[in-house]
Amino acid sequence: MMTLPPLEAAPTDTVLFVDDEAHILAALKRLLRNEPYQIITATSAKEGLEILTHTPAQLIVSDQRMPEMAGNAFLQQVKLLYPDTIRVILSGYADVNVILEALNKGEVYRFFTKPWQEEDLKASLRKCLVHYHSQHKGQQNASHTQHARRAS
Amino acid sequence: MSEDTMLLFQRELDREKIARAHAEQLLEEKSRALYLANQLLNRITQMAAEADEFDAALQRAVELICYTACWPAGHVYVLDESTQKLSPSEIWHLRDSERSTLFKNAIQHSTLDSESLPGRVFTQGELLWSKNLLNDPHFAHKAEAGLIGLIGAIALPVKIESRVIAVMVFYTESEMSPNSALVETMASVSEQLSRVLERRDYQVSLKAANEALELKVQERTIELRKVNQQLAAELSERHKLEGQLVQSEKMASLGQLAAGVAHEINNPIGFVMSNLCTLSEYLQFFKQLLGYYDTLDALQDDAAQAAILRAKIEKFKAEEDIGFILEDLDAILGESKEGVERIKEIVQNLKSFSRVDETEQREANINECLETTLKIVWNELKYKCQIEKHYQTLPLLTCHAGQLNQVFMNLLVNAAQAMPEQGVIRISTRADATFIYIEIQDNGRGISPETLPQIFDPFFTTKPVGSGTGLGLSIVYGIIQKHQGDIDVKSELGQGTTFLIKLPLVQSAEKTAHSPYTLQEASQ
Repeated sequence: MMTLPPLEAAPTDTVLFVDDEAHILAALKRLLRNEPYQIITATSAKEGLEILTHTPAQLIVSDQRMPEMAGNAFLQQVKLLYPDTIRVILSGYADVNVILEALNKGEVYRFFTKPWQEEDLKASLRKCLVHYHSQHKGQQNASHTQHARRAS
Repeated sequence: MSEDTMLLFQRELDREKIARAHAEQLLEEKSRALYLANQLLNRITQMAAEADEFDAALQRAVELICYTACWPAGHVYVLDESTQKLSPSEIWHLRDSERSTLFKNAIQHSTLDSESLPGRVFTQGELLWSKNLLNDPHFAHKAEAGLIGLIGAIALPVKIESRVIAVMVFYTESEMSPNSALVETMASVSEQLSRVLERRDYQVSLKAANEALELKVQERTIELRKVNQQLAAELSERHKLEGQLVQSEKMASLGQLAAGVAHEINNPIGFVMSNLCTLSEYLQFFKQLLGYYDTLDALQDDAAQAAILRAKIEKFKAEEDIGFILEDLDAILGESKEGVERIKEIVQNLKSFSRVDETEQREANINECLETTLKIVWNELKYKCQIEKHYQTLPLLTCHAGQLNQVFMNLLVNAAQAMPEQGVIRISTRADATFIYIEIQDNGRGISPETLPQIFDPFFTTKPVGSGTGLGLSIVYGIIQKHQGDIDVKSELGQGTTFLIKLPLVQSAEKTAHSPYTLQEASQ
């Protein structure tokens, strides 16, 4: 079993889960109820995009096979609208080519499979948030450096 | 009557008698000659027909004529096919061969003078004679002939298809002055011999042609047999390849199925497993809580300690959110149970879809078959289309339900794939006294008129190389054929495609026994 990374993630972090299967969302909510982040859920890509307009999330976890809009297409949109977010797919099956393309284009950060290992999933999600914060800091630092360079 | 008159009368009578006797003799001679000629002709006909070789036939004819006519020598000149010239042959009849050697050699080793007797017969093509060779300026062997007393000669042509191919020359020991009977007889002999030889020649060439033909037939037969074997080998190789391709198509459609099925099974497994994990956390909490209460029981006497413990328990309950846990317990069990039910159903659907254990035809309800197939392909379809069902009550159909399910799956998945975005698939069934009709209609992009006639061809595909085997619809066609049904397609670009399947309620036994293309593998 993986040891959980330290609770570096701010307790104000929010993770959005999108899955057309309500029972999956319920199971995830239960499993992750004591994790150091807020959990919000949506049962479609459309609903997910709507929620993101008023509730910012650092990490978005989406199913791949959903009616109307598939996970990769949804996350592609999320990347355009919220490029800082960490985007992950959690799916029971997906076309390898689709996933590879999404990964290589940077639209998706990780691909997790269903069924999941509870502790692994917890650890992986925390790592994603850690990655978010380190990237965020890095970006801030980078922009600071740029400002500094311009200033000098 | 006077004596004179009597005498005159007597003389007249005697003269008449003599004339009569003469006439009778003449008649007898003539009839004898005729008889001989007739016999000669008959025998020539017979022997010429009997002789195996052309030369042997001529040899026998020369002998026969010499014997019959009492001529001392006969010889044949034959046509050399390559030079088209007449030359002396080895065919001879000599009454006294020892004495005749000189004459024979002289003739044998000479070239033919075209003006000589045989030369003229050859060019003129008719019977000729030389009264006295010793006066003939074109006869070169006077000395040799004179030595054995040969004086006259008669020569007759032998023809095949009006072409002189040999000239027979007969020599006589007196001057040759043939009467009309002899000329006639010899002309007949010549003609008859020609006819016989002609027939023989015809038969020989016919036989040769027959033999050549037979040889050719044999050769061709061997050739054909070879080609046949080759074809059979190629055919069996092709069948093997087709079998493999049918198998690979089956695998491809299974793979397509697997995507949907894997997703559909992994979802419930995902939440059921996760729920079990959560449930064990809940259990941990309850066990710990129970432990606290046991301790509390033991502390009945110690009110102060008990109060501390109670506070701890309350804090523990609040921390672990007992309200949420209690509320969630029913949900977690209910949802998990539902998940397991769903997995069970998927497996059952798969089983009834494939009907693995059925090799023979059984009664099935086509509406149920469609429902089973829909459940399986629904995972594939639900993201792209709505299904409209128009089922009418159908009589049971004796069929390979597993195979028909494969047909429906193929058509439904094709329909879904034909949709650029969202679409509608309309499934209708109906029946009359003899047929069941199944119509699967989509409003996808349609099939172009050029492509339409080819869609049932094996290996025809519009998908990029590697994406489809091109066998899907040919297998569909094969299965419908096997059920003695018909499949028809109507399509319009941009409007959609309709497949109409017609299945007979009663199949004729004969056809079932000789189904042209076994697809049992494909459906198992």
